[in-house]
Amino acid sequence: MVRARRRDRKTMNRNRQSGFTLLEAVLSLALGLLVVGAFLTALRPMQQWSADLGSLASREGAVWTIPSLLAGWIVPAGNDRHRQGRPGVWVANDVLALQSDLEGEGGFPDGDLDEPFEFLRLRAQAGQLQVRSGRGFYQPAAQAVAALRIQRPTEQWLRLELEAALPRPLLGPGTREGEPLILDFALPNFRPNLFAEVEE
Amino acid sequence: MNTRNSTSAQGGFVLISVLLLLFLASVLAAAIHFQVRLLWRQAVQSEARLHSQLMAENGIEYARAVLPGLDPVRLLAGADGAPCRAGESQRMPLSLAEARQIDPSQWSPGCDDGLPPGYRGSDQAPEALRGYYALRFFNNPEEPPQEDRDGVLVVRSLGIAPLRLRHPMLPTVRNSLTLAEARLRRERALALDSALTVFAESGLFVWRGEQFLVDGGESAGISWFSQRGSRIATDLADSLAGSQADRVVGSEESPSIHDARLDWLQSQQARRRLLPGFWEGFLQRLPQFNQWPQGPLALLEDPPAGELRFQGLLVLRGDVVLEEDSLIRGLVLHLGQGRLSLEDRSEIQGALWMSNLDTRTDPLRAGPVHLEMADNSRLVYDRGAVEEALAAMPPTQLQWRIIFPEMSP
Repeated sequence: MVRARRRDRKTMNRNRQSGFTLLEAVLSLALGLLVVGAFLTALRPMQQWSADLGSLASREGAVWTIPSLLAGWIVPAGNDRHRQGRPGVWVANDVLALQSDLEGEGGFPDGDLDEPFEFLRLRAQAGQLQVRSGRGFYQPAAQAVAALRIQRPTEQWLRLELEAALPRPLLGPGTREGEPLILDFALPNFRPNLFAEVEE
Repeated sequence: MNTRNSTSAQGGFVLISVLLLLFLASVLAAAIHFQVRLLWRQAVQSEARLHSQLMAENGIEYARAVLPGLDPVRLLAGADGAPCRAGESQRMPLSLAEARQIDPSQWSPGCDDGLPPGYRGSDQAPEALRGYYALRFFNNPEEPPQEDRDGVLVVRSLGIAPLRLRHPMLPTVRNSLTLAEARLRRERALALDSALTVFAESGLFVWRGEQFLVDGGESAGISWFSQRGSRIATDLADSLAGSQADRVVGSEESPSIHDARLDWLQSQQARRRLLPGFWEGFLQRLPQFNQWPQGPLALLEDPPAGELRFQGLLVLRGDVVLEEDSLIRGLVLHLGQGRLSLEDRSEIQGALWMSNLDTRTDPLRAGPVHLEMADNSRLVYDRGAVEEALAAMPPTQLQWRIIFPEMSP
């Protein structure tokens, strides 16, 4: 009895050392593949959702920064235009041009647009909002902008309609196109005055 | 022995697996945290920057509203009447470095020059989201700091959006700032200093009875200006018959009629009345500002029948009759051709300006004016009423800019 038990234990140990049979290995591989396939299939919509979410977050993140960026450039546009006889703001070929005499000697406007930030041009191209300062080249200022429409309903108001674009098409169902971002800017340098600014 | 080893090896593998999983989860959590932190910082800074700009703009709007009612001498010198010590900023409400760090609700300025009433303000947002502005006026750089002759003042408004959201896991962010500046001209060209001011070469003046009154108080009853001669003075003097002259009273002997030519030429503000663009621009823009009948700024070319009551600045054109018991308190400008008649018991408390300028051909060619005052009508100079009317005129905005930190504030 004791001998038989010892033999059984030896056989078991031998079996454990020799690994699985071919059938066991094939079955386990097949089952494993099935499980992995099922897992990947289940994961696929999640991957799409994740990619789409990243795409939408990227667009929203870009759109979020645009108002404060544009407000700093557009609101002071036309500073000192009365004395200089400059238009200050104009639109040509879907490009918004902004002239603002902001600085000069002594810290006050000097009549020249000699600083790069005193003459800006904005446009939407190649999925970007681009800005050109002074005589430089257009540079990207914000991503995810498909189109820029500019309106001047009155002298004092400027309306920008930005069409936000996704960095890549969505993988999942639905388009989830964002609403156009409409920004209305009051231009303080164009507010009507009761008396002429320059009376000579 | 072998079984114990095998169990032990399995336990070690599980431990390593769990540790590995925990490590991966930690890395994932850290990555998400840093991404959220970055997005949070961007979002907060962007929002705070926009908020600070809105507050700076609000400050300028407030300054525009209060400026017409302020005395520039007292405003520039501050409550103590003396200029601030050298080195203290007379242009900035407070330094940018200080503004980034402070709690704006607790701020108090060291220098009182240029601080209007309500120089520090805030919006009505909940405390955690509240923004602030701080204001300071100063004289335009073309003039000495304490002496305003041209009526032009500069105001700076520092918008401050403090960040009160603090968390040990989130980055600390300083106050967001925007410094806006406006150059404003107080409109004092129509600050009249007599009951009746006439800018004309000649005029027809009809005084009925002996109970009318033109009273300049401590100023002249009537003052006149003419570019080409003094015929208007003769017309005025000749129109008063007998004791009627005693009904034009003021600082000078009756009839109190004053030649204002020298005064106008010596005053920078009054001299603007002689600039061709002054009247032309005023008449062109006036319809946009017309607030008839509520006032306080109104243009009236065809007055309604019946008594007229008005307070503020009233511009009249054409033939105008102020019917019985009409009362106007403030400043009345009768511009262009036509006759102005004050019926019985009608009264102007403040000042009356009359001119007939041909702004189309020769901007300063002054045609004749025509005034009729009935018995018991009154024209009484009231400096307070004139000042109230002038306060209704918005200051002229000459410039408006944002001063960025890289510029020299």
